[in-house]
Amino acid sequence: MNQQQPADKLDALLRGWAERRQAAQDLDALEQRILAAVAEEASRGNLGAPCPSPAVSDRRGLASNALAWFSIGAAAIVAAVACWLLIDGNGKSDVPARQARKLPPRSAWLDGRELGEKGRLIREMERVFDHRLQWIAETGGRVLLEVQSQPATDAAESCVPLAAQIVVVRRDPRQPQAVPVWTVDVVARQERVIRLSAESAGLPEGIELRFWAYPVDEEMVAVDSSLSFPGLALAWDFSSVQKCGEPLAVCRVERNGVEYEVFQTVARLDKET
Amino acid sequence: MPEIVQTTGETLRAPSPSDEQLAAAYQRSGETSLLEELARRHLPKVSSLVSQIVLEPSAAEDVTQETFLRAFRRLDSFRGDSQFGTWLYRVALNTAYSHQKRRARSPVEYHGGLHEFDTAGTSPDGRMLRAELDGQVRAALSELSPKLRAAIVLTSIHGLKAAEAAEVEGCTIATMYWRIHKARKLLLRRLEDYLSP
Repeated sequence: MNQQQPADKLDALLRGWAERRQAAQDLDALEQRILAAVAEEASRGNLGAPCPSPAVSDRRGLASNALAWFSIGAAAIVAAVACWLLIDGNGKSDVPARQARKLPPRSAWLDGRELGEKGRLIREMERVFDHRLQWIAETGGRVLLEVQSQPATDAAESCVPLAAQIVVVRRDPRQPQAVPVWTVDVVARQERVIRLSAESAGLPEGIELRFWAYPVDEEMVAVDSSLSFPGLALAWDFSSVQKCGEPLAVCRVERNGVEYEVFQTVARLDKET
Repeated sequence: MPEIVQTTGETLRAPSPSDEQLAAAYQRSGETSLLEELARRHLPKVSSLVSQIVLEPSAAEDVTQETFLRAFRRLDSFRGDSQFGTWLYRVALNTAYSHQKRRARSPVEYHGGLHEFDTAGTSPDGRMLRAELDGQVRAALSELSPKLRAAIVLTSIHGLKAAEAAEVEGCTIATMYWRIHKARKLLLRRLEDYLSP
């Protein structure tokens, strides 16, 4: 992880290595060697017999089709019974209630309008800071920036801009709605390392956040993040992939009958105008 | 003034048969030249993939040859559910993994030097730097597990999407995402000095 350089430099490094490696190979000699081996194996009758006659294939096809239909039917019956047991067990079901409690609160989502604004914000701020901006974070009404000494390279500018939001919500059984108690919003290009702490960012004593994200394709993003929130005895260390734009519950604790849950949302900003 | 029409001089030819058609034709006829055509078509990509996974040039040639022989021996197991190239990549990776398992007791070490690659046309200093860089990339890749190495090679070098790489590996897309992520993280850390400005 290098916050000074874009990830695609790694791709360029690997591709360059592969190209030089390929250029050093004598493909013609290897081709001759493989063709000779294929001919030799064929002469020994080791390269598979021609396939069975169509009639045999059809019979095999019918048999396998019948088996497949039987398997599908059996699986459907098992699934139906399992659903019935889950949903209708003892005449009552707590599945919908459980699922409802796990739904991310509205505050954990980043809507299209917000994403559009964040996309414009990062591009504008990059221009203002002469392409030396590393990241922007906003928490508790404060806006924090990290600016590096050197302007980013052109390649760095082509890295995907991302928006992330981490929300700690409080769920009190006596209240119908989850209440956000702490939120941090981050805007940065991929693979920037963001560290926020009491010392560096004036967060409440003991709170420390580390965040790094890399979009693996159009829909998924790999994220390394950690947060310690001593006041609520919340701490997590997350390292996995999650779907772009969808809040993911990454940590849950219960204290005195009140539940605290952390949601992490990451979205691409290169699709927004 | 007469209009000048430039022609390419090419004659129209019937489209060459697809890989799948060649494989099916071999299964019907047993004609070895059909296998040779398949080998010719796929040799550059397969040898490149194998060489990037196995990392040892001489062993890579053996594994490449073994890949084609294995694939052709088991051609009847190719059902056309995926493209022939995808299926062949899978055979190549499995053959490379088998090789790696056999070599597990003696891990790949980097013994590279200035003569590892053809670096003609560059200055002596440039050659030395390039050789060092290539050696470090190879060493970094050798420290990854074969599955992580395959994930990064398939996506970063061969340009496959995560879903396509997952199909080659026969794993879920989520697993492939995770492998790519893990491999990138390790490589970025390992090659940090070479990625700095």
